[in-house]
Amino acid sequence: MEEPKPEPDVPINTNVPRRVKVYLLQGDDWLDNGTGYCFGEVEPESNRPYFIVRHELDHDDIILKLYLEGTTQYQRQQESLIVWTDHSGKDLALSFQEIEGCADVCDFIVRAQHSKLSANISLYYVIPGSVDGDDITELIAGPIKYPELPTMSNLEECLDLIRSASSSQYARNCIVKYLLEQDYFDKLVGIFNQSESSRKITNLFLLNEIVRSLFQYGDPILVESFVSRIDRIYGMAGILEYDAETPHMKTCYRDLLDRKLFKFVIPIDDVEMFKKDFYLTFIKDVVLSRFLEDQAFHIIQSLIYTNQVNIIEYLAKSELVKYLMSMYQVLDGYTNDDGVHVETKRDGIRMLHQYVLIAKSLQGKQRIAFFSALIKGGLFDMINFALNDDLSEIRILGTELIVVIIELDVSLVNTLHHPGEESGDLIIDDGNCKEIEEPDPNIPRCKGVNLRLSDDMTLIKIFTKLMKRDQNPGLKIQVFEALRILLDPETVQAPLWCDSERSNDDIVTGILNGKDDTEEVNHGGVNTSNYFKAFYEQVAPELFESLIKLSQSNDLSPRLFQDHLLLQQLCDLIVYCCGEHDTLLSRPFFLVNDIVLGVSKILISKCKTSLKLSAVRCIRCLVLLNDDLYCQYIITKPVLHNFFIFFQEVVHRNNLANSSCLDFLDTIVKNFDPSTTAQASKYNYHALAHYIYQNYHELCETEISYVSTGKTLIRLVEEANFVHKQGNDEHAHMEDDSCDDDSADMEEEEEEEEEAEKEEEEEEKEEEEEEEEEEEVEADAEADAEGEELAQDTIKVSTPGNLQQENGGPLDRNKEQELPRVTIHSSKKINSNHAQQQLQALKAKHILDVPISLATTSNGTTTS
Amino acid sequence: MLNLDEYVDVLKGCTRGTGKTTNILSRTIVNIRQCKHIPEADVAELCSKVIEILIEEPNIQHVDTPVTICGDIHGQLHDLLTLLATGNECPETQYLFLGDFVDRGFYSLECFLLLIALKVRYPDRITLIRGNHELRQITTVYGFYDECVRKYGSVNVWRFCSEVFDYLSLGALVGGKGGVFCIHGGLSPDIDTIDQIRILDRKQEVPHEGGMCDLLWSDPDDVPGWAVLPRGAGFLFGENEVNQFLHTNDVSLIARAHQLVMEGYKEIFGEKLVTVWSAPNYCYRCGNVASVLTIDDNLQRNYKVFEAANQDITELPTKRSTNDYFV
Repeated sequence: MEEPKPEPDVPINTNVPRRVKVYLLQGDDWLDNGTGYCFGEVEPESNRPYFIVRHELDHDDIILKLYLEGTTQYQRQQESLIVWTDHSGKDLALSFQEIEGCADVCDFIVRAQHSKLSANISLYYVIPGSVDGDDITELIAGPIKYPELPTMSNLEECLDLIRSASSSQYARNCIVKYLLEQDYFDKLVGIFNQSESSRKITNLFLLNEIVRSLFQYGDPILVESFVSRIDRIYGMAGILEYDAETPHMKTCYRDLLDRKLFKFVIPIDDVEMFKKDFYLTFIKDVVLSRFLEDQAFHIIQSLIYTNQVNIIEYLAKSELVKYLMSMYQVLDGYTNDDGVHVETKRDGIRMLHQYVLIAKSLQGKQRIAFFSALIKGGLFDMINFALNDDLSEIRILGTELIVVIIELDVSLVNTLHHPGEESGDLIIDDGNCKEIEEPDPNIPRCKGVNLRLSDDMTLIKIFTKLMKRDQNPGLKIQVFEALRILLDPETVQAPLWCDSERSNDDIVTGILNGKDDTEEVNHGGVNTSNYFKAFYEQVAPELFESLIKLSQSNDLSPRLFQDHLLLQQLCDLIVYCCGEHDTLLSRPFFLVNDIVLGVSKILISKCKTSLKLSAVRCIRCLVLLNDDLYCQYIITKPVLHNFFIFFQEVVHRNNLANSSCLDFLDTIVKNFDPSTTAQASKYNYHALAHYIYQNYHELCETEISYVSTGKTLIRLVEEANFVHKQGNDEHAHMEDDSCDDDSADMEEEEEEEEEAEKEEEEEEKEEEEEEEEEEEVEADAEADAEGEELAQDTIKVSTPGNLQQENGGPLDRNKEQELPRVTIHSSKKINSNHAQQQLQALKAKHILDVPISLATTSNGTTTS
Repeated sequence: MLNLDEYVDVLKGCTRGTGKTTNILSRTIVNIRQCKHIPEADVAELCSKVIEILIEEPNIQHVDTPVTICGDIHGQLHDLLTLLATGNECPETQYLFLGDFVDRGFYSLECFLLLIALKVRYPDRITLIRGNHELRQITTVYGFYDECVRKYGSVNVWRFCSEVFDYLSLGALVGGKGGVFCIHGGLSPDIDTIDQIRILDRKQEVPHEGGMCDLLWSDPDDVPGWAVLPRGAGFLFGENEVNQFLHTNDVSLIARAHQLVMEGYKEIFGEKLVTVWSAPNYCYRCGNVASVLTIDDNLQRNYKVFEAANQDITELPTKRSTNDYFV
């Protein structure tokens, strides 16, 4: 067996004298033989290494001189002790003053062994066992027994030697080095093939054990060599098919590898790295997944990663992307159909999907380079093909693909314009907002031009169409994700990548920093206000069509709810839009189109409970926005009313619907409770709680008997009333009216109310319009006639908030305290069973910003 | 003669009557048990059906005795099958699973599908509650997400399953008054009474704090009061908290899972709290045994311990999932 040759250039002697006590064992006692300085030296004439300890006071007094020879085993104990039995049977110990000194002398032993001057000595570290008290002994240096090259008959011995080395890092390193030098693994594979063909089953199991033991070494270089070539991977897969633990079965990894799994879509000159990716992933996920040690797992993982970086870089740089994209190119309205079979195009989608998922896990730089190569190459034509394909699988892949890209780098979709890189006629603009300011729908979009988020709703429109029409649930979910990302003000605000001088790193930083980079955003980013304006004008009416229809219709037949997934998603989207978008853009849209009313109608229809619960959550989230107008809307339109119809249905059942309704109620109670939330304005919660108190008293007090929520609401409202009613003689008749009456009235008078609203509106229009100018809502300016009226409504309603803002911030402290009185004032009117009056009062209070004076005069109380 | 797969295809081609649906479901259960690839559309349908059932269940399920309570499964399908064999198959035995069906093991999807398929087939004979691994955020880190992507090439199946997670109950009460309160993790300082749990709208990704979170994350320990939990979510709670809770709610035992117990189960605090662990040789290397706990009509406890299955690797979960590789 070959062993490493001595390395003569390495100096072996120790440099520093180390203070040490020498002990000799006599009987059971260690006798102190004196204190001195220890040196490790090599006798020049004989080349024999030895320890020498000279007395600390008299340098010439040699306490000990011993050669390192024979098969002596040195043990390092307790960090500072070296103990051994010499060839004559004497037990000796060196006790060092410093740990450092002991380590130094141990290194000398190691050097002596490694240099082959004392090839057969060995050094062990004895490490106190932490758990059960047994010490652990680890070989640090010494002669290693190397396994012989494998034959048909010596595998058992090989396995034993490989296993016995596994506890020592040193032994493992030696064996690994040896195995690599000998191409041992290839020889194992050779024996494997022989054994398999001659059906030597014991050999097969032994080989399996050997390979697994080697994996347990967790040595990166060894693992890497196993999987460095396809034939080795294949051989390893074969060896691992035979497992002694399941002697009567055998896996069929090689069959899986043999299958023709590779589909070639684009011409590649370097297939190897692609195969490697596939094989390594297969090994990691399938072959080794059962027993792989964490360490080996990470080694393979990082090999895969490195290889994938190469693949993605290769794809991004080469002309392959262009080649791929050209299959889908649309020029002058004609698709490039020259002989490209639709199946090939589909495979192209499948292929790109695969690589996009791979790229997703890579670092920003490679990812961006790859994705931008895709977009430059004409990704959108490809996406267009995918989204219009008959196969839902392809539509799903296409969606997922674009979702991944926009999820990570929405700015890439914005970008697209690289001066000088594209031929001039393909570029339609050089500024981002130009088109938005002068929208001209008559100018047809130039085919082949990349999308720009700034003004272009094309992508959002495609997704809207898909979400509405496609019945595949998986696709619907993905499209929803995509829309959510495209409607996320944070990602949309990410700086544009239109400046080609910016490095990739800058872009990544820009994306990561998002908002902080405001200057950049304003300068080069999407004009988000125009972007969202475009969304609410062009897309939202289409997207929310089903809810708009629902709000207008008296017919609640099941067919309206057939696409319950869509409605569910719309509910979620409302929450998202209301919460994240500029209120002045989103709120008019949702209120004017009565979309929230539409949501509430879900609750009184026959449809899936899961959809109804989405509606409950949607309304609850709107309540939590603590927005005056939404709150007002929820009370005056029968939104809350519809909610309570639903609540009544489930009030005596213990299921998720019941819990959701309770949660809704609890949300109001918690936010209204003076003792819990001091920070936020309670004004809206106050209004809601009072409304519920007035109209659903019985439900709260008696029917919700199993939890305290309902009673708490009643108590809190009464406590609040008590405070405000001191000195108010009119306090009476609170519980006269049953809630049902009220509800019915409300519903009946809904129309009247709307008329009244309009009249009022006429009267106030002039005032309103002045205020309107102060506001920065431009949405209604260009709206059509019908929309204008409604928009006016909204604007009007929004005035109080703005007026208050002028007075120094929304709802300052004084007002916060005063406003609730008004609610009480108005709720008394409800008691007199005049829903109309109630609504008028609510309106007067909220719309005309007069509540403070009104409240004071009518109640006759002063501000506390 | 038709082979099984063809038979299923024939059935699928038919209009699905009730009887046939049941047939298909039974067939699906057989296929899942054999680790066969379940088409994405079937997964979607199964998930939507189980949601319809789960949505009608309260946050704390009331479960009659006798029932067999099981702890963490963690994707160890073969051990789940051993479990079902140990405790007798559903529906003969009524089961209550305390969550953590997915992650860590290699067959998370199969485990979860099997359990929800049983739920759809025998809704009254099996109860599933939510564990801290039935969370989108957790499954993306601990394996379930990757497994779905590997087996289906897209994230849809993971999305379908994650949607089901949101509908799972948060706990169960076995045997009514004086019975056993079952949750995945433990108690919460925010929750004194079982009724309080009813107010939570559980259909959501579990928040990072609050009652719902604590029920799934907390651990018992020898601590004087509520203490911070090293896991980063939930609390440590001591014997006092347990006694207080048992007394307030008139229950005699808290059964939970969530922590590996080498012996399969462990009773602490004067036998007032038990941790049940049902994943033998956890992560295929911990060397522990597993157990299930049967509560009989007299609320007596009976533990059955079982060991790891000799994993049958001839049935590759990846049989169909080694997707084509495109170049």
